[in-house]
Amino acid sequence: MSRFPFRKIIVYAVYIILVFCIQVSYSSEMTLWGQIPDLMLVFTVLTAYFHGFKDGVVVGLILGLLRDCFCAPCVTGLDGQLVVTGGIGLLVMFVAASIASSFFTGRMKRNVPFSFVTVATVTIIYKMGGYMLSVMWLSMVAHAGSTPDFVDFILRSLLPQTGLNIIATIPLVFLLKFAGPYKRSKAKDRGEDRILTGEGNWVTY
Amino acid sequence: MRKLLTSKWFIILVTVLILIVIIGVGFIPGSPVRQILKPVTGLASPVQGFVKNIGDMIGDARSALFDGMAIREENESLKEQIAQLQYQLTQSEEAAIRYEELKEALHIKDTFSAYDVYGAAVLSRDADEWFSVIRADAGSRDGIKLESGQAYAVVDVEMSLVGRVIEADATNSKILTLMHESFRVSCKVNEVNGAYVTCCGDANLKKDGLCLLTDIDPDVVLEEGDVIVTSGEGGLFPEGIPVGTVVSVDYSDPLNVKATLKPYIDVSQVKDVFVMIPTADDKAVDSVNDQPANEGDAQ
Repeated sequence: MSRFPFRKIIVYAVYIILVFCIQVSYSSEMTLWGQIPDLMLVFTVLTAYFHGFKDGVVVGLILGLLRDCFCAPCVTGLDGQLVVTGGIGLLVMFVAASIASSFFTGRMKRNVPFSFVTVATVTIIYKMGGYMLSVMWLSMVAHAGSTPDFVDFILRSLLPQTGLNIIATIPLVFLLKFAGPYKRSKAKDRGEDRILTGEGNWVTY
Repeated sequence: MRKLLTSKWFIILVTVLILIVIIGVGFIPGSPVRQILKPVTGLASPVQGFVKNIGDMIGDARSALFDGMAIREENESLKEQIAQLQYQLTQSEEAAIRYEELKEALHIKDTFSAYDVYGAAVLSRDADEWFSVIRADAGSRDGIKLESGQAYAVVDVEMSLVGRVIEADATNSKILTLMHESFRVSCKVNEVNGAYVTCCGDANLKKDGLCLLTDIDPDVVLEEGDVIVTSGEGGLFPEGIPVGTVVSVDYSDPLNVKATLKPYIDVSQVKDVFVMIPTADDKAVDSVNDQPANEGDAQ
């Protein structure tokens, strides 16, 4: 019979609170190159990458929920009225965790250097997805301003954001690897993920 | 079948579909999605406030340690300023008494006299360029009761336009800043019979801290440095709130003259905001007046 995972829950709770509070309270202090490092996204990706699908999805959904509550995207509806959306944060974080938990994790044995590549890849997917959606939406909505220019988006949004997220990965990797939810001597049972969730069927190998 | 139900990709697909449905339902007017999220906000707000306070205290302590000399010098110069201001205050008090007398005699109306102003501190800011709504610590308990089709103007300490309240719960309100793509407000050039324009956020200009001015009459000569204020058209925003100054004007397309505006506010630096709510008497007058005019202006 396994013991109740107090350490895991407490460590995740503390990190989630810290990451979320720093993100929404001190975003202006962290701004560089016109962008803010997305600590919530990076933490979700790293949790999923290092500790598997289940951990990543739970952390991602909690952070996504908080993101939706505190700074949900506001869009002009098709009728021209403003709508504060709900659920986009949940979707973004869930998809980020799902991708990161299977992104060459088997081949790379969840090693630290490749976590930077995973963060960069998920950031690019997130930014490109967001860009395409916003262009699509803005072109459909009346009274909307100009759609974002693609080259401008790449140079002033995608690249700086990816760079900042890679920088933000450094402290978060240290937290998760050296003060993380699992003892270093007690590696997480990867077999559990494979049997229950089929992890390893995609790009894992 | 059991293998399918426990498959990771099946779980992901089902969850993604559920989340897309939730997002879609959120677009329906009066949808319960935002209501469901409110308790979570209520639970998380004190935690976020606590951590923010600790961070602010650390920041203050660091300032106290490292800025000691600068503060002492600033203190000396402020003392001199206080002495000068005391003298000016005495003179202003006399002028104020005269103004009040004349105001009653000439029926002068204060620009913002029909508005109650509620102060609030900024609690949280945008997480990234798309999750970009700021939160302030004043809600329906403080008098900010937002009904469908309403919008309250939000200004900073210098009475410059910050944005509008888009959602309010018991203790907090969410503010859409004027640089957001969805923000629109009717404005005018701040001069006698100044031309009317529309100020709106723009995805490309936002990164430079600028806004777009549209609906400019091609016959109007707009110049760099012109001061733009809210026009009061539509009744959602009071007239005369300073918005910013014109940076450039593009007359290349006479049918679509555009200009860029540098707002007075720097959203990243705003710490305290003031929500302007029409007084009860003013609301009653508005509801009697033409109602459709209230919609569509400041979206």
